[in-house]
Amino acid sequence: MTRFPTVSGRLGLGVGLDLPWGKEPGFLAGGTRDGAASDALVRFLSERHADFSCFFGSLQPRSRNTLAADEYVPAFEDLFRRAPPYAARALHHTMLNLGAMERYDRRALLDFTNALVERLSFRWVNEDLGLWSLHGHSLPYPLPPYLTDAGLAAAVRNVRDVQEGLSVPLLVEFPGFSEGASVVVGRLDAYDFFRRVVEETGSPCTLDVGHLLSYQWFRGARGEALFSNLDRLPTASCFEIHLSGCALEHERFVDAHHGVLLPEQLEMLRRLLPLCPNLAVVTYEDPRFTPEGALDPRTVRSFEALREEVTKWAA
Amino acid sequence: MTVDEAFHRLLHSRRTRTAFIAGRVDALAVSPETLSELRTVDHALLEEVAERIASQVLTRGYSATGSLPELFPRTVAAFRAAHPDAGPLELAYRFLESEAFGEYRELPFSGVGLSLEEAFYRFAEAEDLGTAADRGREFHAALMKLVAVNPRAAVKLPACLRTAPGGHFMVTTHHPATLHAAVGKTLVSGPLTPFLADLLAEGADPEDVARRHRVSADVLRKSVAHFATLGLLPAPDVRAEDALRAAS
Repeated sequence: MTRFPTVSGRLGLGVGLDLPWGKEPGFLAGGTRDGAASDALVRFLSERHADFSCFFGSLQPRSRNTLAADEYVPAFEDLFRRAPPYAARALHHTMLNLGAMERYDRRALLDFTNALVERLSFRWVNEDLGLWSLHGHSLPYPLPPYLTDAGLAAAVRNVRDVQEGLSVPLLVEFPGFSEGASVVVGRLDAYDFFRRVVEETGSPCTLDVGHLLSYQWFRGARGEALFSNLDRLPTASCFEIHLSGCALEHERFVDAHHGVLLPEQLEMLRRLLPLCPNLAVVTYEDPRFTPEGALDPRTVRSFEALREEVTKWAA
Repeated sequence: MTVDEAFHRLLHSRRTRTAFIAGRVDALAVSPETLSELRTVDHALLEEVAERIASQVLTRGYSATGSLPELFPRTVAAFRAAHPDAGPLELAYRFLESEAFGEYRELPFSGVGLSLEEAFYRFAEAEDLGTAADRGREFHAALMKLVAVNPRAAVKLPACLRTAPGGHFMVTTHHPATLHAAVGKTLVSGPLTPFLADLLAEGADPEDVARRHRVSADVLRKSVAHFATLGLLPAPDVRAEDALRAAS
C-alpha cells in the first residue's frame, strides 16, 4: 500500500540543504557556539522565506559516536528556532544504504531516525536508492544499486524494511550516475529497476532531475534522447522532484550541487511536471549563497527560472 | 564470494582489480553467473572510483581528529622515505588491501569493527613502517583523540584502552611507562613512575601496590586523590566504601 505524506495540495517550491558539521552552510562545530546553525544559513532562509514553502535538511554524521538523537536534535532545533517556519519539514537521509546486498542491521538507525522525526516534526524521510557504503566502508559518492535480479530483490527488501520501521513515509529517490564517481554492476535498465522497486514496495518516490539526466548521459544519450523513456519511470508515485546544480565538464555529466542548473534540467522538469499527478514539492537542492544570505550571483538566473516554472505549476 | 563481496574487493584491492581487468578472474572465486554480472563493470570507471576511495582514505579528516598522515606523520614519512618513487596513493592502495583494513568499519550497521586509526596502526605494524616507538606513540595519541572527540565511539576499542570515570586512558609499557588519557575533551600525556603505572593497572589493589613499591600511605592517598581529580580513578571515598563493602 502506498504511503504518501499527508499534505494539502501542491506545496510549491522547497529548499533542500546539505548540513555538514563544522562547515558552511551547516552547523558550527567547536567553540562557544558548538552545534549552532550557521548565521549565513539562517540569513539565507530568512531572506528567501517567501520563495520556499518546504525545507529538507540532509543528515550528516556529527561524530563517530553510537548514534543518539540528543547529539543532533539541539542543532536542528536551533536552526528551526531562528529560521522562518515552513509548511513541511523533511529529512534527507544518507545512511539507510537502500541498495546494499549485505546483511545490514538498521534497527538502531531506524530508532534514531524516528526520534529525530518525532522531536523535529519531519513529515517524511527521503533517501537515494543507492550504495552509501560497502561492508561498513564509506564511498566517496553514493553508487547506484546492483542492476541485477538479486540487486533488485535486495533493494525491494531494504525499502520494505525501512518503510515498516519508520514512523513517517519513506520517499525513495532515483540514484545518481555522476561520471567519474559512479561504476555500475549489472545490465538492468535503471528506470525499470527503480520503477519496479517503487511498484513492489508501494513507496512514494523522488525524481532528482540531475540524477535522471546523469543516467541517460551515462548510457550514452545526448540531445533529445536525454529525455527518452520517461514513461518507464514511476511518475504516478512521484511526490517530490529535486534540482541541484549540475555541470558538463570535459564531456562528463557532474552532479556538482553548485546551484547552477543546466537548461536540460529545466527542460526535464517541464516534461516531468505534467506526468506526475501526485507531485507536491519541487525542491531546489543545495543553493549557493553569500555569508550575508544572498543567493550567489552565478545562481540567480537558475533560481529565477526554476521559481517561474514551479509557480506556474503550483498555481 | 557474492557479487557485493567481489565488488568490494574490486574497489579496494588493487591486486584483485588489476587481475580482473587483465582477464584473470580466479582471485574472485565467484560463480559463472556472478562473473557475468561483474563483466558489465566498466574498467576505466572502476579504476577511477577506486582511486577516489584511495585518495579519500588518506585525505579525509574524521570528525575533527585529523587525516591519517596528520595522525601518523612519522610513520607515513617513513613509508615515503622508503619508497621515494612510489605514487602519492601507493600507501593508500597497500593499506586498502591489507587484512587490517578489512577489519575496519566506519559504519557499524554491518558489524562493529576497528577504528581507522587502529586498522592503520595494525597495517603499519605488519609492514614494519618506521620505528615501533613512533608507531606506538602516534597510535596512542590518535586513539586518545578518537575517544576524546567520540566518547561513545561505535568501534571496537583495543583492550589496552581503559574506561575511567572521566573518560578513557591507557598506560604504555615501553620504558618509561607513559600515561595517555582523554578526560572530557582534554588530552593528558606524561611519563609514570612504576608505582603510578601499577596503581592504574586493571584490578589493582592500591594498598597492595603501595606495599610492593614501599610507598607510604600518605603518598598513596595523594596519588589516588590526584588520579581521581583527573577522572582516571573513582573518588577515594567511593573506593573506601567499595573496600568496606567487599570486606563485609
